[in-house]
Amino acid sequence: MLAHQGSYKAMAIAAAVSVLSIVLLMMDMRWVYLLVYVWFGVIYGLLLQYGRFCMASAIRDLFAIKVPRMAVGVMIATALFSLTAGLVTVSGYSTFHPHPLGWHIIAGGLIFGFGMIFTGGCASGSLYKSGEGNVASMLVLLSISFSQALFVDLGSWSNSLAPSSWVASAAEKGMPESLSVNDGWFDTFTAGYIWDLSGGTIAQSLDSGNSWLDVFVGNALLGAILPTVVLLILLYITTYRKGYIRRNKIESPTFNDHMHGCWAMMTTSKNTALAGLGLGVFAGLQMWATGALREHYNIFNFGELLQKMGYTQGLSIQETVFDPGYWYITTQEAQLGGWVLDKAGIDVMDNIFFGLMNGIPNPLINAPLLMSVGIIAGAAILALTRHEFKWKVPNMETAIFALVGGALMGIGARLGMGCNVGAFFAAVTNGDMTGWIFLAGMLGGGLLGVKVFTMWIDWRTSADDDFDI
Amino acid sequence: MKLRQRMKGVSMQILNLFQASAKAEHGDQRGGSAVSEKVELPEYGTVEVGYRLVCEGEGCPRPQLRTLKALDENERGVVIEVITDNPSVVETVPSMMDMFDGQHLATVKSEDNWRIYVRREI
Repeated sequence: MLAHQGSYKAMAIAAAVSVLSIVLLMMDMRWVYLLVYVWFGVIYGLLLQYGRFCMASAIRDLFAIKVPRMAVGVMIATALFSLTAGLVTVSGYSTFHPHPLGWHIIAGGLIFGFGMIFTGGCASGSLYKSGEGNVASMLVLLSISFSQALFVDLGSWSNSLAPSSWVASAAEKGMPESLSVNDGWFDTFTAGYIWDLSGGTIAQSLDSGNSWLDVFVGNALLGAILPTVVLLILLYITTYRKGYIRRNKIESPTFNDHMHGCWAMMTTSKNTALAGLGLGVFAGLQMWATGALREHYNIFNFGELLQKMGYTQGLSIQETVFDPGYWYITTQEAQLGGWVLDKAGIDVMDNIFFGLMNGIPNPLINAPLLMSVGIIAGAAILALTRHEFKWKVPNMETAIFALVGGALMGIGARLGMGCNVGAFFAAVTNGDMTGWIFLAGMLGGGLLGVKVFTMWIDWRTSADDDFDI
Repeated sequence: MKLRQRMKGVSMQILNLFQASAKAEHGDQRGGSAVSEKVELPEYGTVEVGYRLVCEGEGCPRPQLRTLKALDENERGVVIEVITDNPSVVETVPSMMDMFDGQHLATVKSEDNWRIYVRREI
């Protein structure tokens, strides 16, 4: 009986998303732009749950328990997405913008990586785990949303933390009074530091005149596939090799044995590898779909479409909203936090992040946010069908870790301009090398986080013996 | 040393206050305990389970780290049963065994949890 109930619930969720989509399209065909986000979210959710695909565990499992399963999955996804993203770039539909290069990337990665060890999931992992009924992951989402919103809207007390060179540079940018660019550390950081930096993709710096060559050799091969292969070999040497040789009782391993070993490492977890393949393909397709729709409606940003449809509330002063056009996680969660703060009477539109760039649209028409909701829905559909859905209520310790770790992830994501998806996955696959820097930061933060976490567990278990109440 | 012990004691007290409700809910089930039970494993046969680790409600990497600890604390060959309701734990614990000289015997799914059977190779 119970077995059937799960499938019915899964079908009910799928039906609800479908019916809502049809109703929206009947109201106005232009909602298709938003629905692309929603349905790609559902697909990502299905894939993430299928492969139990969490980038936090990629780093954590590596350091804590020497298991390369998830790191391998991420590498497969990265290599493949670089190819599908390349196709989209060559066809002219790429929605990707490279990130500016600076110390903030590594600082953001460090803080994000440290925080995600304590939450038990990365930004996308927390979404799919929420779909499995994991309440701690929902707390992480809550914490990421509000810590970002509060961090970008830091009050005047934080002004003195900004170097005077940033203040001077920010003042020269000629921003409207209403944004008060030198009130709040994050505003000064954005206008006085980030805007003075530049970034680019490998293809842009090659610029040989042959876009196929630039994109596939530069962005994909040099920027993503080669580093991925190197990392896979390193993973094999540092983790998998010893056990493989021992299990197969190989006396003096040859090059061939090691090649077989590498293949065995990559195929140990078929679910994870398949999810990686799927994510690589669909992440590319999403860029293409959004790019094509932008051309069709002759817009650069969803804000223009919203305006034409009569929705003007919550747009930035440029009349834009956050609309990356590819897989992204954290900024839309910040918008949710910002929207709630705004409703609570706190003015968040006086900062650059919301006021000038991203806006705080109503969550019901916030396309990227609905992609996140789609991820939760997709994960729930599959978890219910596979009878893996269960409400998991955390104890107080796990809950506190989720909130504190989530807050660190939020701050790290804003400093590093994205999370494991936006700042790493989507970046390195599009020839933007800042993504590898973010990964380096995440690795450092993750290593430190695992050390602290292991110490904590040891301490807790020994403490239980000493102080049993 | 004394100060450290004292600080540890005080913070444990505070944490235990927080955890009172969680403990009441799960009873003494949480944690590991030595057992001696015969269990029929699919495609493997009957084994004697020597240690049980209840990790329900726990997120990564706690169950994994506790499994490693249990492997270290038990004699080689003792079958350890890890009970979890977290799908990613089910995915990682078997691959973990490859790295730590261990063996994954079977994973049994029931209504609302999984039982994973592992041991150190003899």
